[in-house]
Amino acid sequence: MISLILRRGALSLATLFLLATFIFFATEVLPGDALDVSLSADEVAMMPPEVLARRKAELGLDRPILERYLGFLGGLLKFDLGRTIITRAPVADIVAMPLRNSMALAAVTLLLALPVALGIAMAAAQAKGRGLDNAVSGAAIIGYSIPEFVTGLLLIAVFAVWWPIFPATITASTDDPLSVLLAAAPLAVITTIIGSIAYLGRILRVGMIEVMASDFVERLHLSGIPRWRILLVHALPAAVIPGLSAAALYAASLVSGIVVVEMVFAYPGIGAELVRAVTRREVHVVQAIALAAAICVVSFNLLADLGISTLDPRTRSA
Amino acid sequence: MRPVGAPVVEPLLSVRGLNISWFSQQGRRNQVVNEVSFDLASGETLGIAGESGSGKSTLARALLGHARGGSRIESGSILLGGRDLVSLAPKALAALRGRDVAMVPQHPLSSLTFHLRVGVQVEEVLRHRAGLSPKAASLRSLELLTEMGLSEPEKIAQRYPHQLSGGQRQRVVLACALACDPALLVLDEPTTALDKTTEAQVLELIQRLRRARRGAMVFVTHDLNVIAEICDRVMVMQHGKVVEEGPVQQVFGAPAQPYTRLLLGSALRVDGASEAQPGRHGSILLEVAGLGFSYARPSLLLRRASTTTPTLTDINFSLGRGEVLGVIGESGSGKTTLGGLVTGFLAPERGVLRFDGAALAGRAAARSIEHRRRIQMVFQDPLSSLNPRRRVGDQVARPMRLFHGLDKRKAEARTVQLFEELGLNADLLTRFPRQLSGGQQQRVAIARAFAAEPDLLVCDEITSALDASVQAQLLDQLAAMQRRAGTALLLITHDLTVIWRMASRVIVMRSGRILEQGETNAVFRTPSNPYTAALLDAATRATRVAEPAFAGV
Amino acid sequence: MNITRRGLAGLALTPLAAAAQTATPRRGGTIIVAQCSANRFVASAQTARHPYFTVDLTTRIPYNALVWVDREMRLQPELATAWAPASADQSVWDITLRPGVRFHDGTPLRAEDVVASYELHRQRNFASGQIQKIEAMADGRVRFTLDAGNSEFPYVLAEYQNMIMPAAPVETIGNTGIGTGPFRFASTDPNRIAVYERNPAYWREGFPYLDRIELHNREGQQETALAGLRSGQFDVVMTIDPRSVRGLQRDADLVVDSGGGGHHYVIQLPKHPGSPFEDKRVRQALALGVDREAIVRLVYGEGNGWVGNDSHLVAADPNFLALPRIPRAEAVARARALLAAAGRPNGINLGTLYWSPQSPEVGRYFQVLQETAREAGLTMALEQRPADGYVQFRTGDNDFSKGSFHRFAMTAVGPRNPGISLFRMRDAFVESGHWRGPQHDAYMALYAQAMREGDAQARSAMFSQMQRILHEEVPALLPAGTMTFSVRRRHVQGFEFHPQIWSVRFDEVWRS
Repeated sequence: MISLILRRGALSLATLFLLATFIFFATEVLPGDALDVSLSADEVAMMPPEVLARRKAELGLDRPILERYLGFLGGLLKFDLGRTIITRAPVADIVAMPLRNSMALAAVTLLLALPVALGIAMAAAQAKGRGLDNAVSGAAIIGYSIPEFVTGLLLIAVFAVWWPIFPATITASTDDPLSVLLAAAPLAVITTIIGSIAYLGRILRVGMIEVMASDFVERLHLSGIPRWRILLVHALPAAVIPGLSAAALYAASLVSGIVVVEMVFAYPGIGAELVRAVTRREVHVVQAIALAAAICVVSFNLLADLGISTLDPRTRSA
Repeated sequence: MRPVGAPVVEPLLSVRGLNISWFSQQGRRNQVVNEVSFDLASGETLGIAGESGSGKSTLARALLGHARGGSRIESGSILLGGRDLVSLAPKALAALRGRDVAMVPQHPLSSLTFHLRVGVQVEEVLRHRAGLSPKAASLRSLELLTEMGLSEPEKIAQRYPHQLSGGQRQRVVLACALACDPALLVLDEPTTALDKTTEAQVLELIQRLRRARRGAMVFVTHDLNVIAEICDRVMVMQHGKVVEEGPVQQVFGAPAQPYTRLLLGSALRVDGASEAQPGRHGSILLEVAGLGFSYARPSLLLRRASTTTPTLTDINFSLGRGEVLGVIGESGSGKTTLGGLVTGFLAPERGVLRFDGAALAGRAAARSIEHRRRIQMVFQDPLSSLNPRRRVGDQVARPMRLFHGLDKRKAEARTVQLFEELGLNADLLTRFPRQLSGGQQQRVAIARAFAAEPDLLVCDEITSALDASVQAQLLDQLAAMQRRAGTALLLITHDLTVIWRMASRVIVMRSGRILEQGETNAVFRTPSNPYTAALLDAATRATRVAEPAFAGV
Repeated sequence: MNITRRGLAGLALTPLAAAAQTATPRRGGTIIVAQCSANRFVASAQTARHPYFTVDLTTRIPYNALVWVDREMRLQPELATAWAPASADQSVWDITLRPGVRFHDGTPLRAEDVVASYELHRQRNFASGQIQKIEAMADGRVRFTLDAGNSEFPYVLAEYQNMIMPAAPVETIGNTGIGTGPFRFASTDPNRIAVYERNPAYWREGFPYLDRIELHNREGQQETALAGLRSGQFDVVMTIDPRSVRGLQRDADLVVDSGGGGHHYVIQLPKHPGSPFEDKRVRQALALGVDREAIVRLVYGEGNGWVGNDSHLVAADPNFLALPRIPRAEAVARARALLAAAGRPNGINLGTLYWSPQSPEVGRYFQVLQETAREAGLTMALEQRPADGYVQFRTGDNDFSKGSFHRFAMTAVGPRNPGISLFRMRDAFVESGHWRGPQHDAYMALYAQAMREGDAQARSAMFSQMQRILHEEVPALLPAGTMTFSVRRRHVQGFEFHPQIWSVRFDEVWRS
């Protein structure tokens, strides 16, 4: 197990290095630079070309790409994400709170969605093809196929405008305590939960149905082992394993920001920050957020692998 | 149904007029158990024999009151100790299962929960079905494992299923099934997944348990040899119906029904000479010297390496023109890898391949087109090697046009001829592979191989997916074509009967090595290797059961 | 289409609101405002209160500039009570400061603060580069010395970035958020929220009425903002899509205000060798062939838009010289005749017109333009380009030596005074399609003259003459534009939207 962790850890670090390099070059070759897109047509109209060039030089936008790449890598080693191009503010300051908020939303969502998704899977296992399962899986498919912004707008229309029990949009600040922020965001949480239940429920249901048709469940059934014990002790862990990698990726995608939900509810998360940074060509912020997303994906993957190897002894070397 | 004079007073199990059907998603009904009736007394062992699709596994599950999803017991009764399992409520059934009737399924690996230690799985039955305390269950489970012939039960109990050998797993499954000492034990192909040596040991254990216990046993298998060893009585099933039933010696010694005779015909009988034609002792066509193969070392970073391709060590043999050479071995013996090396799907790590006097490149891609034409292959599963989107006639004609430059008309004519030789109707030419039966598909694959007019044809388990009747026919046609065309055959199979019928010489493989090779007659009559002897012993029980000297029963 | 100047200058669109204006203002209360226009710079915690980085274009809540532009685009005193050129060529300007003004921290406003503020603005603000020198004069006035004469210089003093902050070095000035405005910062969430509380020592006696303003940035999230408005979370939503006006007007709880004529598009007509637009007759034919009124009608809806005159001036500008109205059939006939004279009796293919989705209705705008031009024998293909890198794409980096030309393409334009707007048609700038020749030189000579001219009426005459040159020459096409809109709940009173969205004031807003 230790060697597995070390091996996977090393692999994860190598992956991260490659991803960081990829992120750097992918973002640096974006058309346009921070200055150009931060100026309106009015401003470009009035600014003499030499002033534009001087300001570009001030912002370091005229340095060769290799030099900037080495600077980027050097910064990473010192945990320095750099500063924004226009405001010269530390990127870490800009990214920290939105990242915290996205993680909180993801954590709350998963905490509430996972039990429900498991319940759906168990219902499916108990009653495959019968009314309950059909209803539940039908709802899950609908939940999965409706885009989040539609769910969100629908929830707003119903629970904020028509029957105003929840706020339509989030007016809490980015750095409010999480309790304040989440209390201001019930509809955003519900929207992500609906999507998560649909997604995770589908994965777990498929896994559960497959496991319930397996030889060992039949053997246990024919041995008269109580149903609850078959479901909980035998089938559930086995059903979770194949979906774990997908679920980990999903969790990572939650953390790295559900842009749509953040846009619809103005939730101060990392996804909206990314969109803002991309449109403003704030390359360093884009890089930091992409890097955070990469770290999320890689570490959740690592966790999933460790989880799988805990649950499935076959993946541990004998 | 019961023959007059059968020694049953009070049957433990009594099945009457049982009908079970499967229903497809579209609601189509397919009856798989048809009006089956039989009795079984305590202490008796009944063998249920039949090919796949005969309904024997469905019947076996019905004996525990279970019908798999999609199937339904439509009518009939199954009385176990006086209670009808067909009409029993689920709760009452659950109370019965494991205690009064238990089952040993076919695949011990998949039948054990992979993420739990096997000790826990045995204790579970003891705790939840026999009502033992955790401590008592733990002690009793070790006893049970010992009784199942497992040495060091404490160590075994701590292992996960995948860490055990096949034989050990089946012993654990048996321990689970016998934990509550059920009156009726149903075994569904319990040894099919095991190699012959392990099978013999497990059968010995079952034999021992049978004698030690008072309970009755139903033993479901396609292998008549196993029935001959274990059972008192045998019931032969075909298409859901009971074809013939009676004491094993009587049924196997003097089968009354043609189907029973056909099944027995596919069992090996090493009396008289091999039916195989002696090889033409012409020049050597294929020469294999010092051949070795191992798959690449697993990389440091990848989690799992492929374990599907066994290693081969020091393989030497030669094959004459027009000769049929059999390669016998169980799964994992390396025989399929050997076929892959000859056809060039795999490249050897060591050793030399010579074909018709010239060196043969390892990978097919490096071989000349002529070499590729002269060596053809037929696989076990024809569907995976035929293109599902092309008409079979086109697929057979393609090699003729590719290798021999035949024009469309000539190729068609030759295709029709090949189809006729293989007993295929020319109407089938325009069908797609999925529209054909398994036997027809395999014939198309053979026709396609012969279309290239090869000098060597490698056949890998080409009949193991087919019914006995189809199998016999196909082998006859293959033999005829081979003789006519003078094609050499490398016949890879686990089935000794196939070798006996077809191959003049045989190679016996195990664990990637050749144990023994020689004339089939000599090897089968006086095997020099104990493993060969065990294989032969297991394969000939059904035909020896009627002989007075047979020690099986 | 006849639009009265009054209508263009913006009027609450429901009569009820007008009636409510007459009620007596009440002190106290909070309003919550959502702003849908894109904010310009990404702020950080350090810079969120700096006028360059506050939630977009709302700098007049905490700050004041020297001058304010009213809804009729006239100059009004703000921190400056008077301004006057100190040289005949209008290149030196003296500003008199309002006495008794105090910053939020209680310190009095001094000439030094103005000097320090403009040390930053002349380096960073796009319009302030012309300022060569700022001096505090002995009498408390401030003197601006420009690089050339500019009779409209006071408009620069009203620009949304050019706020007055307490004196500090250029590197740190403005970060405290201290200004002289009607409200002062209570808290900020950079790029997202700014909360303001009443400045009790505001220099306008009795103002502001409100105790508190919460300002939420909802750039690109109009649906969210409107949902918040309908559910009562927001009181005002600024800068909404003209297409949503009709639906909002049906809601009895809401009042839609127009700020007047603001937003339009310039279409560059490249004039490099080989371009169809080299020939003036083709440009004239295009100007006639495009049905501008159809664009207003079909894209913005009657009453929401206005017909442009191929200059950067908006119709609301008093200097705006409308194109002569020509009946559609006659315009088409004249366009065809011009094409025939240019040797294209069967019409002309103008190539591809590129556009970028800078606002939601752009796609429809250019479809209508394409269709109506075709009636006059001018065909063109349309191609949408991503907003990413659009500036470079459109301008072709302007590098003639490398053979890279600017393109037949559009971009959005906002409303400003003629001095800024008319300067955009100079040959050195891509929006004019690098227009050259004697007519251009005459145009720019008039421009320089007008900038030096102190008399408004004389200046206006020159602007009219310049626009006539544009009507004749058509260096670029500016067919039609729309007004700006905001929407508020009925209880918000005293709120007036503005053609320049950055010139909205909250001093007189109150809750009923």
